[in-house]
Amino acid sequence: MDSVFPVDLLLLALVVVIGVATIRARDLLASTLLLGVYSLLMALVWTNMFAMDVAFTEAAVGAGISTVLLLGTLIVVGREERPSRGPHGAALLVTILTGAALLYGTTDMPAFGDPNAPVHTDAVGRKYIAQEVGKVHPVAHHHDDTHHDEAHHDGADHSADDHEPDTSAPAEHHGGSSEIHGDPAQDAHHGDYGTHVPNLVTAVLAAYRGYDTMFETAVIFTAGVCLIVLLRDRRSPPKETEAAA
Amino acid sequence: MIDTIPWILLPLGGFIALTAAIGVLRFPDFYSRLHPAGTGDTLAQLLVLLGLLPLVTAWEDGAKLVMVTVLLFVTTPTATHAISQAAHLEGLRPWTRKEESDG
Amino acid sequence: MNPVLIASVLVLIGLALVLIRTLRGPGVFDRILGVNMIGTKAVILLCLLGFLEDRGGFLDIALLYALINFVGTIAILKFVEFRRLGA
Repeated sequence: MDSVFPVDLLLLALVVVIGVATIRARDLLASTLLLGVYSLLMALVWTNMFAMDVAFTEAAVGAGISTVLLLGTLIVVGREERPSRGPHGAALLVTILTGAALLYGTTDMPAFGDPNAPVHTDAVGRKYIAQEVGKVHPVAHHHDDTHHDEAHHDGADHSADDHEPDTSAPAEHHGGSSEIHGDPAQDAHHGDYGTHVPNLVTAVLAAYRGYDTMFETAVIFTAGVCLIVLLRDRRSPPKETEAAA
Repeated sequence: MIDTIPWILLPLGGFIALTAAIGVLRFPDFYSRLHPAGTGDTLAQLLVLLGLLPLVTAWEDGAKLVMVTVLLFVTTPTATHAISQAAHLEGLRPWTRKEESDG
Repeated sequence: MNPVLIASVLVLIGLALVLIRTLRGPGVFDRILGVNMIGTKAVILLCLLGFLEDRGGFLDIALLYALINFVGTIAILKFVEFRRLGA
């Protein structure tokens, strides 16, 4: 992690510079270009944080699609920004208050990797930890009651290792489990990961994959419909269409 | 032997990338800035990505690296050319020491 | 010391210099050239970062970038040409 740090520092400094420049640029085309660069660098920052999926989305949507969409907007609204009359007092106040509230919120966040974080201590989190521990140590202890999770819903927390579900139980199967990159040394120590997701967050995500995808599809469909409605070619001054041809 | 290849190619590629950036920053006009952008960057990415090849452990990574290399090798000069052509069509004149501009 | 780290820091400094040109760039085409070059350098940087800590998955994003950068540049050029030639 140490060798990544200088790269991260430089990248974040560049991101701040680009953010300020994007706001200050009068030429809206320049702003659009700078926003593309901003997304590019943010995706680099995400990759540095191991957030591959976020980086992928940022690259595809931020640098690719939104640049093209902003260009489509510029065709409609023109390239020059109207000169502003100084800062807007109320907007400035709202922004500062929101920023302060967000900063205040971060003080309640648990330390990175804290074992006592709420994620690890509340009921749902402990249930998943119990399941995952059961999968990582499939042969350590034997317990015949495969439905114990539903039975002692609350009791599974203080004795996670005793009440592990049998790995062969079909009900515990998670989707998307083929993408495991288990450390071979760990595999030898903890037994076979088999078909299970070693990462807790990924396991929760995989368990709710169906809902996730359903609502994502709904959101994307709505967004597509809105875009079609917004960007439909309604203006038809004849000189512009001639020039396009 | 194979361990020294990254040590040669990677810093060289980084150096050329830096040189190309300095060229883009310092050259006097748009058309002269195209030269470091087109050639320097292409060479830099070729050197860096070739320098990374000996470090590859899985063959999929190697295949992806080769794909990135080929893709960049084709698209970087093409994009530079497209930019220069657009600027030319736009009517941007090359910079000369004399005020007269004759292509 | 690590050759990958040396190369990534060099490329990153180059990226910052090109960024200055992009911010300052007198004309639109200087900015477009700068953005295109930043994209290329970002792809190189992504590949390098993947090998900095021996993590997989970076190369997929690099591949995506290499494609998007080219298409985005062409789209921007088309926009500029369309607007100017139309006026």
